[in-house]
Amino acid sequence: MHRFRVQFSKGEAVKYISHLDLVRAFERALRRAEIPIAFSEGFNPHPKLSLASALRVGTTSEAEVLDLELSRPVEPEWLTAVLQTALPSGIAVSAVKNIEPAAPAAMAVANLARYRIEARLTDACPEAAARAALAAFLAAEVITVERETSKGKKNLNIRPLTQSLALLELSDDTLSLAADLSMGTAGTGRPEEVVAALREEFGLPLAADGYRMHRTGLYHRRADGTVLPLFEI
Amino acid sequence: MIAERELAAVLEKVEKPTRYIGTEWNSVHKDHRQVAVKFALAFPDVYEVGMSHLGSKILYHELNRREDTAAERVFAPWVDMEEAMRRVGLPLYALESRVPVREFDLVGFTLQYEMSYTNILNMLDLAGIPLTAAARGPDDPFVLAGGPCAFNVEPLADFFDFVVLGEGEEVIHEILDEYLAWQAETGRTRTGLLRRLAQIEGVYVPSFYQVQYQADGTVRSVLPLADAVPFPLKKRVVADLDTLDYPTRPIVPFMEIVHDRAMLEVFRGCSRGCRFCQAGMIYRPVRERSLAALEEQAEAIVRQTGYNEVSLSSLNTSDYSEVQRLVGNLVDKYRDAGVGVSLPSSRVDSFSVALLEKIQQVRKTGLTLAPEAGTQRLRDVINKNVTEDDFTAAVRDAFRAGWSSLKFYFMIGLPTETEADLDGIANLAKKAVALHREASRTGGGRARPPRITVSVASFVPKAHTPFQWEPQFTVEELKSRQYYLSRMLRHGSIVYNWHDAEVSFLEAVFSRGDRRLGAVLVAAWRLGCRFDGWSEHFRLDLWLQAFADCGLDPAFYANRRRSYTEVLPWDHLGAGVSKEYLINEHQRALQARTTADCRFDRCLDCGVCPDLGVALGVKGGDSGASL
Repeated sequence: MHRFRVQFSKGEAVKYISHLDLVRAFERALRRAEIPIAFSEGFNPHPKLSLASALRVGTTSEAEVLDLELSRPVEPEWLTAVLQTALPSGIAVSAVKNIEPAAPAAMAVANLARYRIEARLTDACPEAAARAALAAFLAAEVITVERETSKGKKNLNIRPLTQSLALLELSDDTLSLAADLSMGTAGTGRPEEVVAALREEFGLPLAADGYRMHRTGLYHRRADGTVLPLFEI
Repeated sequence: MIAERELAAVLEKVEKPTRYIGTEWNSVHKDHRQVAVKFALAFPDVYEVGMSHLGSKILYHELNRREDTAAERVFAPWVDMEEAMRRVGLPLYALESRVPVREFDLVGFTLQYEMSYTNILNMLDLAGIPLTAAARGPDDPFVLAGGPCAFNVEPLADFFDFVVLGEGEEVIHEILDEYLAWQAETGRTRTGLLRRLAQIEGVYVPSFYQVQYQADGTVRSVLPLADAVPFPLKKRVVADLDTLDYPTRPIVPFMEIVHDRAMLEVFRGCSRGCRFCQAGMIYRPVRERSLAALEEQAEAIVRQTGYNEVSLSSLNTSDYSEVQRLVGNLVDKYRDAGVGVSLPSSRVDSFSVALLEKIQQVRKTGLTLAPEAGTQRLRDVINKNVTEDDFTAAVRDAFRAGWSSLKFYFMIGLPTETEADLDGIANLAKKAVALHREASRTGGGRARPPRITVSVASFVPKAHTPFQWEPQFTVEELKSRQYYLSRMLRHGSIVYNWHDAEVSFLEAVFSRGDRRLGAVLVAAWRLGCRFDGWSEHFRLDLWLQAFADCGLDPAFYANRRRSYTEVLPWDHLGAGVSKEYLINEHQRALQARTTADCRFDRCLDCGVCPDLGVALGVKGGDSGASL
């Protein structure tokens, strides 16, 4: 078994493609690059690749993670180079490394995502007001938002999903935030819901559209609180 | 160029933004300052449909391989995108450069289907290009069209500066060369370019011809307005497909499209001679690609797209003279790489089923057979040379090979159809169920119950076919026949579905329409009609209002029998088959007499080869002769 972990960015050009589209784009790139991907057994074999986490449509990222299994050993440098030449513009491989056959799948251990959120201001917002709102957000125990799921709308407490929230930059028309949001079995936080709560519950003059979401990293947060970048595991 | 931010504000509001981004693998992005001609290839339907169209891939390739030309794509924005664009005043833009379509030099629409015509008007309007050729000025692009519906482009005559009849690979270069020469002229006028283009074989400039009508609404005459323009016109055909450069780097979409696979074009044309089939008439003669060329193209296209499926496309791929070797070689070559082979359409015979069985070694798909009519008499009328024995053998073989779900295509409302022919459809479907029972008994252990899907379309008479003089049954009559069938097909193993008779009615109006229908199209579009081929958007009430507002009766076009002496609106748009041949075939149809295929029998004097200076091009050896 020859396993590899790939770190890549998903830029503006491809931010609207869905998770399934991205999986297919990788499958096709692997075939174009003639990378010896391993196939699953069974009647309908499919290539063995898995993305650590789905990225919401419209969000860019600089640190997505993909696990691959190949049918023969290759050099990570070679894999980086040939995969990059076969990928559509907007998807850039930043690192590739070998992983142990028994290592846990990136998908299984990813439980934290860090975002940069740029929200448009609809009104003037002094820095003190922005900081006060963020502090109030973090001090609250319950912050309820309405989430649309396949089974209809439901109310959801997003406070436990928001592990940190900090001011990055404040300009005349834009508020930039850094947010660490849980993901996985414990529930997945969504940056646009953080924006909605800051607007609805904490009174910040943020527009309901025209924001930019960017994922800066995917992590594994251990029970003891230490945080490791997914690619480093 | 449309600014990133402006576009993002629109795209974040639509359901499928991937339709509108234009950065797919193999898309061609050229610097507009480095080219002499900017050509927008416009497909009047949504992205997933347009991206599945082989002809558009071919033209994209032919145009972009010229250094002096940038060709880019534009599709009909779905209704949510249109609304978002109109709200902020965003013009229709070409995907690759995001430059507004009105800044292009040439805007070429492909005419695949009558029910996309209102989308053409909507796209011109969204682009800010005047709808009619007459209203366009020196700063507007030239708007052209091609594709199968060009063979009766008359309902759209007002909207196009010029129209191309037939295959585009060669003529498109002649058009661009004339365009470049015209660009260098001082004091150039729009008419000046059109005069140059009218000299090219296959180019039709509607404004150079005048149509006069009789008091009863039929055409009195179509006359060229100048001596220098050709009359009648001739379509273009490529004599030898192996001389063409095939697009082995087609764009690979991110989102799933209708035909999401690599396409090889095995041959063009079909001489089976089904009398309802327009494609079988207008794409003649049959010209095959060589086995070697196809294998080379398969290799290149898989390597350059990464697709996991290669589709062998043509009007009827099992007729390819080397089909067994082609399928065998491709299946063997790609089995281990997980790349499958598919045949899009199949004849009703054991040979075709055996081919499909070979293919299924890699990927299981459904099996569709098209008997088209329920009785031998009616199949003879339409010249579908398939017997009940062929049907029985094909279905039996399919069940033995492990298929349990089959789909059958039929048509209702065919000329001379009676209740017995409808009963025949039900009988064939029930026979298939019985054959499954028999196969289960003899083959043993086939637990899955059969599922027979009977899909029934209503016959639409088309221009340039032996049935071009025939009336379509009224919508009421078609509906009553659909209802009769639904009662006859009530069976646990049979699924019956049918096409909307009202849509078929409008298709029949426009497929044999004249220039007066241009006003109806504008009226219907202004009333809100678009995406008429999509049932959720089809509004017959608005269409009927548009006809009434224009003082025209749609039944005149759809439900009227024409005489052989009537001047038909498309008579001057030569598809190659002679009127004598069509009349003779129509006569034979009424006598239920079949006609053989010229590939396997004598020449039928349909007129195509001598008229266009081409020949039947069957490349293979002996493997297809058993057909």
